[in-house]
Amino acid sequence: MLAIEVELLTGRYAATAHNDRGRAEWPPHPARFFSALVAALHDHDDVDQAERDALLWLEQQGAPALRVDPESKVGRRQVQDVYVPVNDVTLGGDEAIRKAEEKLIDAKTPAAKKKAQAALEKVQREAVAVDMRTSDKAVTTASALLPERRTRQVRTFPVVLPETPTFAFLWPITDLSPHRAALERLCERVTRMGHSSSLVRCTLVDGDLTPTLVPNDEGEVVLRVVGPGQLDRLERAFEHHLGVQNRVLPARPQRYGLASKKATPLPPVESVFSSTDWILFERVSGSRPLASRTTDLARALREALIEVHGNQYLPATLSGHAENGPTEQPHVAFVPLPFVGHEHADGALMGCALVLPRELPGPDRELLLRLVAKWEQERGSHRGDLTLAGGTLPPFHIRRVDVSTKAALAPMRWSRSSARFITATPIALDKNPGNLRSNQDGTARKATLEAQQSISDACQHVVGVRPVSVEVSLAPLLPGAQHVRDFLPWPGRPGRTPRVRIHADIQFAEPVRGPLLLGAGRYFGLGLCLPVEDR
Amino acid sequence: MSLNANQLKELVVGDVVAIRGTATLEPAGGPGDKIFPPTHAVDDKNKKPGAKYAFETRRIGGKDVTCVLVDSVQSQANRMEEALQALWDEKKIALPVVTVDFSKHPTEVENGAKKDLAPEVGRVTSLTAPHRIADALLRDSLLKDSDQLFRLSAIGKSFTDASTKNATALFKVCPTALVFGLWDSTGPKGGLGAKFQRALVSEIVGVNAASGSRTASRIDPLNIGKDAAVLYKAADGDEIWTANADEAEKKDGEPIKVGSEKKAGKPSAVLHGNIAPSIDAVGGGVTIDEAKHTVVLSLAALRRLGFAEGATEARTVLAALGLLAVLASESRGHDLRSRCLLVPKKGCALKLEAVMRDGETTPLELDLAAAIKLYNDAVAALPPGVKFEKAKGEALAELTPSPKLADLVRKSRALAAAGADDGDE
Repeated sequence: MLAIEVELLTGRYAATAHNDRGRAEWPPHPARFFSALVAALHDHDDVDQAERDALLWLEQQGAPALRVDPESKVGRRQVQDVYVPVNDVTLGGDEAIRKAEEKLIDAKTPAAKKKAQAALEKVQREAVAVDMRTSDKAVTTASALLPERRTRQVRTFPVVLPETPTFAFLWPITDLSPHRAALERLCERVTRMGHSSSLVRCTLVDGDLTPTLVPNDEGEVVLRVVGPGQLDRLERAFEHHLGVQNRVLPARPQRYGLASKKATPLPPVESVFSSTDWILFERVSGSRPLASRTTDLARALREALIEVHGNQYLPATLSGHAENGPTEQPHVAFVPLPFVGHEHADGALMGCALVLPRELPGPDRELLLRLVAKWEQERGSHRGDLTLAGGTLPPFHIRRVDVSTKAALAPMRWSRSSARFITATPIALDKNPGNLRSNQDGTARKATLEAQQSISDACQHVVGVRPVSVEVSLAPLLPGAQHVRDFLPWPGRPGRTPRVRIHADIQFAEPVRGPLLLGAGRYFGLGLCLPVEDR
Repeated sequence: MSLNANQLKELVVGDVVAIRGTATLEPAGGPGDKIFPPTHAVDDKNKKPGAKYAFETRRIGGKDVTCVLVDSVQSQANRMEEALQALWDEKKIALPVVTVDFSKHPTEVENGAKKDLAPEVGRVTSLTAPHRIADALLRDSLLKDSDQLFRLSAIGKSFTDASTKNATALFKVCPTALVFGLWDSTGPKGGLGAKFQRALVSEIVGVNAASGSRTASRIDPLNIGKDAAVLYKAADGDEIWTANADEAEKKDGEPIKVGSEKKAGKPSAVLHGNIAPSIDAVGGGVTIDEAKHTVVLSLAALRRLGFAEGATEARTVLAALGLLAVLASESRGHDLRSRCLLVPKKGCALKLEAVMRDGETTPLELDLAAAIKLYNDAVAALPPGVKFEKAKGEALAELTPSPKLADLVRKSRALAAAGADDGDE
């Protein structure tokens, strides 16, 4: 095993999360560590070839496992604004002189030289002599230069305090002999990770360490890792930013989950929709619609893509239409994602996702990705922001993300295996079950049974098994979810019968892997169910 | 046995990653006494108790313990540099220091002596300026008795191209920059200027912190009422205020009230009258069981610095300088701010240890006197290429504010005194 141990010498890790400047990163991302190794590689002008080879080899070894304190064992410092004195207050004298000196050197003819010399002398005088007509700006600048009154700029220093001050990156490699010495030398030169105040001790360790976090596509934690070509990418990027300009670390996201003694077998029951193949859009600005507007948003998303595509043929798996009408096979679902299920959930839509069917043919998938790219290119703002609007929906601005910090936008939140699911948005029933609100004895009860049967059929359709029990309700069953009456009629098109919508608490015999999208409106955000803990 | 220069050299060259020091402190008034940590700006709407402080949870003994930041990394670095400044002023150590004196005007004289300029600013040095030797204040000052701006002088130009690959020039001009970090981001090379990460990190954290409340009030001995009279700005420069509208400074024919906005014309604007009692819970101090002081000097970071010659000796000097800074600051006590005086707990004064590559630690012994000797011995061992030119307490270069800068500073102080300066309030 290749084990690299890092000790936080000051007991703290100060590194800002890559997607949230107000939060500290934890666990430490392997990609960040690789960057520290690359920085150590370039300590000397003449890069050691053996060390370079070692890093080229390391980037091929895949995502490492980690041995690290979990979030529950980590303390965090409140992120407060700190005002640090700036250094760019200046009267500018020396800059002006330097420019004048350059002009003098550039002057070719004796006349030009004389002129440049005079200009230089003038600038030199002005830089130091008292200015007869002082501007207010100059006075303020002079005042701001003095240490006590120096202008200050806000910065934040997010800090994490793990219980165990050491952590390790682990790769299952048996023979690292050609690169061992070079890796050791590089590790010796890794003196910090993250902010310069996170001084570290870094070393190769012998012997096997037990991992606590392993790469796992079902995992909850997303860390940035490196792949082949990273060293080259970093070196080329450095030529542009030179260690000074703002830059984003090139990396790919990798899901991690807790290492457990025995591998949990994947539940055999899966949804027709893919649990991970989602194209995510996060809300960045604009209106804050609640889940009740989900169908409007879903329609707007679909319209946007169709509009960008033009009038050419779209396969049924994307449009939902075959030659003679709606298709039977599963197609792409347009799913706005609400914030529900938490103590403070307010049901607001945090973004939306294109949820692809599990068995989407390759070419169709390619087409969809190209369509999304085309949409971004043609309709996106310079920052990549897209707008969804239409009908009565106020503009909703989104941006495509690979990974989001918002819990509602994590595919695993909706797709993890569970035996129990509760609706975040109501299910639109295929058949009218009858009057659920009837006062007459028996009518409401009969309607309830019909509704339960309908939902059971829907489950059979989407995941292939029937639930053992279904409880239905018109009122929401999850914090943040809304009453069915808040939702606009579905399908809401003239000539089409509005469906009855209902919330449900669905219990299966065995865990089922989501996402669970049920009912007539499942391709447009209705019938979105959240996996919850068993009773 | 106290650490000596040769032993430190061994550590610097060998397999020691860092030297770490830990101390346990308590409030001077004893455990359970209230102290005032550094405050941060908070929204007025935020009335959460202790919101102004930087609380954190630490895992101690398997449990979550509420702690509070008592002195930050940056603040500790400033204190350590001030401690070095004091030692240098007392001529106990040789250290390249560039100074600029703002107490007297560079050229104007009055009654045979130089006129006062900004005595409260006094002398600023490469140890005390916010950005060390790259500070804007030094940059906009002149080499003494010359017309040359500092960064255009030989010394000022020498370190422009310093980098981790060759830190020699910066070592000879400002070695503390290599210990505490430097980014010459506004020099000739702009953002690409010399950038060095810190090698010394020190922080003090209070353990088991609970926020408290603070009261404030004032009883006026003269018992002047809130609306006793309307006061105006005095036209006579020596007086500040007058109750007589005829003697007031006028604007557009109307007398100007003293003070501004809500306080205009009231006795409270000139600091008379009572202040009603109030209770402040947002910044009302904290009680702590104890405070942990952790300081780490990374020898591995010093080893990454390249020198044209004398690399080992230079790194030994930097290590000794770091240790000296820590012990000098320690010996001055932890009087961090008003109502925040910490003292070492009995038996828990600062202990140093060397941290080896494999994580093992070895205790080290060093007190202030030994640290001074250690530093001086290391400096004496520097080969000619990296030697410090000046004697103990002698500045590498003395700067004065340019006449232009002096004039502007005087004008800004005049404005401040007249109360029109936005910086006040």
